[in-house]
Amino acid sequence: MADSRATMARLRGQLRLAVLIIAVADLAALDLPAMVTHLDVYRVAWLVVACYLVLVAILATEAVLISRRRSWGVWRWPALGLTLAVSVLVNALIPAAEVPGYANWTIDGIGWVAILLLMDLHLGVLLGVLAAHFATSFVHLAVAGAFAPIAVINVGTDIVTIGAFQVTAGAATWMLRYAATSAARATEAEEAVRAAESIAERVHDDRRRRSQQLDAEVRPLLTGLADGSLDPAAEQTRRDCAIAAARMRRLFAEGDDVDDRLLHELKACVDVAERRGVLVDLATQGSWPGLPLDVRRGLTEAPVRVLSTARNWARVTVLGTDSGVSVSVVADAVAAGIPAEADGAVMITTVEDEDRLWVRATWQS
Amino acid sequence: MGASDVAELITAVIVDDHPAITAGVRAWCAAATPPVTLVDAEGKVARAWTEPGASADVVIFDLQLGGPPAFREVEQLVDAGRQVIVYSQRADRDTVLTCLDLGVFTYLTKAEGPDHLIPAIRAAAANLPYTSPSLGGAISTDRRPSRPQLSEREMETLVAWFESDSKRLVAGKLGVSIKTVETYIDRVRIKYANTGRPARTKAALVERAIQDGLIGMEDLNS
Repeated sequence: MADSRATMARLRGQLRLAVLIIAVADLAALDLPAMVTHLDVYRVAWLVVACYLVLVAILATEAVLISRRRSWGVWRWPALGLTLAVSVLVNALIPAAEVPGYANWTIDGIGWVAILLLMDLHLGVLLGVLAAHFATSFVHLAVAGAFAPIAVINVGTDIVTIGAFQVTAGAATWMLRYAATSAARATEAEEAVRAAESIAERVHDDRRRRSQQLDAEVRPLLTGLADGSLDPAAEQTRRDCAIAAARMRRLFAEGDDVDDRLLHELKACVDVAERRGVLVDLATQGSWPGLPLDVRRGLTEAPVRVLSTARNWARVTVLGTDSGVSVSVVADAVAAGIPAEADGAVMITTVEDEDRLWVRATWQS
Repeated sequence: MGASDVAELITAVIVDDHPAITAGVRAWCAAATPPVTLVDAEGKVARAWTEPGASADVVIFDLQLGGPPAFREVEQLVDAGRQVIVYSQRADRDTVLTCLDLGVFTYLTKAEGPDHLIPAIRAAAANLPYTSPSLGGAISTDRRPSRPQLSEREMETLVAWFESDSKRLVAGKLGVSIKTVETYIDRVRIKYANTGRPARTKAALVERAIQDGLIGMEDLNS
């Protein structure tokens, strides 16, 4: 995006310089000799020279602006007014008989100045200004009663040749600007699409990962229940289903945007147990930092199992100390299937008493 | 008050603005053997200062009486030599430790039921330490520079007590007897009674502990 803008700015600067060179060459090589050799023809010669100098001054200003990479801004309008005034004034100072000829040097010079001044604007503005400028010569002929076919044809020929160059140059700058703007827009759109694609891909990956985890656990259970190989009345089946349900809740909670993810995910598991009618007492003490997903999983994994098999009650505690975080569950549950280690280098200790099970998952920071 | 015998009938006054809590505690007190006589202060601290509340052995105090934590009221009761059991909804460490520092007898959260409240009332009447799991949890995460020095074993015991709410489980986990678990927990409580703002109730707790041989003078000076 920044690249296309820079390219556009550079191209525009070069184009401005090219048009300035054409305008200077035209004023110096064509118009100056034409004016000097016809000084005796003009009604007030010094005024014509002054008009020439006005155009030179505008070109000099343009040269300074190009070197400073600045635009005319609102000053383009007074400058354009001055240019058109020169067009009208010089025309008025030429005797009607000289309008179709070299004495009428402004007929080409004005157009190039106008292209420079109107470079940033729509092509239509330039066309309008050129038309107004060329019209002054015809109006002059008409007012002077010299609207003879030969004179009109001569002036017309001049205008067609000069105008063709100038309109082409104007159109070229306009098209270039249009192309650069669309290129910038296209780049922006492309980048937006790329960003959206990358986000979508990541979201998709995340969903696929979660769906695979669910699949691995839930599918065998559902298939087993469906084909009758698992007995819904069996204690083991019920336990497996309860664990799978709690894990699903934890998985859904992992996507939530909350301050304390560990506690949030743990509460999701507690909620599942409470829905089964288990009375859960959750107590926390101390503080803990934001933990990565594997550590949170490791810390909640064993408690999930215990909570899922708890029959009537459970006490869940989270303790954050300087040395680490531990999640502990005491419940009237079964110890079967509790591992000694879990994800994220989490250590699990299990203590069994007659009627209760105490499982503690500890992560050392 | 003072060193009343455990078998003697104990009177407690409850200052709590929730009638349901008062009714629940009354039921627990009545069901206890021997029963505890409960006076209802109807959420007004002043009733703990006038009869029959004034002569109650123990004050059960809800920290939140429709405003910010009533630390000032707690302090006044403690200064008058009352055994205050804070029974609160709040479980955050700073609140618990502030109360402990003010000299309350013990701190219980409302998640802790009759299994802790009734023994706490009896212990308070006998000047014997009582540390609830929530108080143990708060002490185990105490990071203030002024905190007493706890041994590693005491710390382990305290954490396990907070987590399991069962002295038998703690004993099983640490491989010691229930009596040892109780000793560790009580020693921590005495160490806390021996630090911070002096209070008559704290001194009584420490004195009784030394008399019972629970803790030696050398442990308290460390």
